[in-house]
Amino acid sequence: MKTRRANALALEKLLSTLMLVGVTVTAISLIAGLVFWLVHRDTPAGTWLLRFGLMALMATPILRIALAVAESIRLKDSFFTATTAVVLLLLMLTLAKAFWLAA
Amino acid sequence: MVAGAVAGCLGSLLGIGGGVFLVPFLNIVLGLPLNVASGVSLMTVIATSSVVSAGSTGKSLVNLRLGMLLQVPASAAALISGITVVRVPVRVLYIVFAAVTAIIAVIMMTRLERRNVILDSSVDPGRLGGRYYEEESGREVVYRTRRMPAAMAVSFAGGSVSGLLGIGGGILQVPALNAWCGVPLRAAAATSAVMIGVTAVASAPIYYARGDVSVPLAAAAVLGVLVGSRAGFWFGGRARAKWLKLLMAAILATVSVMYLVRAAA
Repeated sequence: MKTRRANALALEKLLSTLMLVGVTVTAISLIAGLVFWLVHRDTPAGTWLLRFGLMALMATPILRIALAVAESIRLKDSFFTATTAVVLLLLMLTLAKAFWLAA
Repeated sequence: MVAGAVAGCLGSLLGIGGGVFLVPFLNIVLGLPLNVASGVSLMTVIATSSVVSAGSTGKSLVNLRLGMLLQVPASAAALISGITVVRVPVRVLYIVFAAVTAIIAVIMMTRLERRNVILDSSVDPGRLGGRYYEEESGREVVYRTRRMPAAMAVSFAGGSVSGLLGIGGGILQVPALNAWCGVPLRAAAATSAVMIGVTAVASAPIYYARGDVSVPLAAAAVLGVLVGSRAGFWFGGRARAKWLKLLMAAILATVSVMYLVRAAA
């Protein structure tokens, strides 16, 4: 019981660090992109930075789930592995549909 | 663009995980199409969720096992509705939006907080329950979940709303988990805050690939959320001034009526 709880706390900490990194990368690229975009409209660099920022934003929760799958396998928690794996699979289907639409 | 930033700020200051105010603001006030308003809103929902998740560490309030179980129907619904939303007539979306805002307005007026905790920390919380340190009582408390099918159904509904309309769905899920499923309000809010981002990302890339995410507007709105959330918000966690709730409920009721009028027109 105690170890499961300690593991849960460690995982929570790891995941929240990931979120912090994701949010920081997003914020920096969006601020830089908006400054570029406002100074010279439609420069490739500004648009690229804005797009990159939004990609980083979307990637953060996906990475969070991927990390949760890896951790649950390591902890041999089959219930948690099953749920996180299904969620990750659903997100992969979303990405597949998005790439298919973009292509 | 400035409007996007302001809306993002306001949304998180008012403690609503984006969406339910941002979508009508972009759609009705700024006159953007509903799909663009939803696409931009989904981005702010992800931002809100990530910021809250990054800040809620160490308190054990987030119940990841419960959250990931509920995330399955939520993500599936968001994926399906994200794909099918282009086939849904906009009039139907207006009606759904009117219904959802009306429900939220009612929830805001009637929200009861159930404590749902067991003070004896030696009790086994079970597979999906949890334990955390409660500040008010200054001790570790335990809670157990019940009526999981109801929780799964509400999560599916929340995911559908997220994929169709771009609003977070947390405002539907938190009261349901609290009132029906035995989860204390804070744990429900923290768990739901983590979930809404994953739910949003189950349809956001599809909106993005369709070109429904206005990139500069989304960037401004996301930055607005990041700034606004820094100023401190916590949906449900803290006592809110009664008039503020009343004001928000009144705005939502107005939005609901406006969408009904639009659907009828």
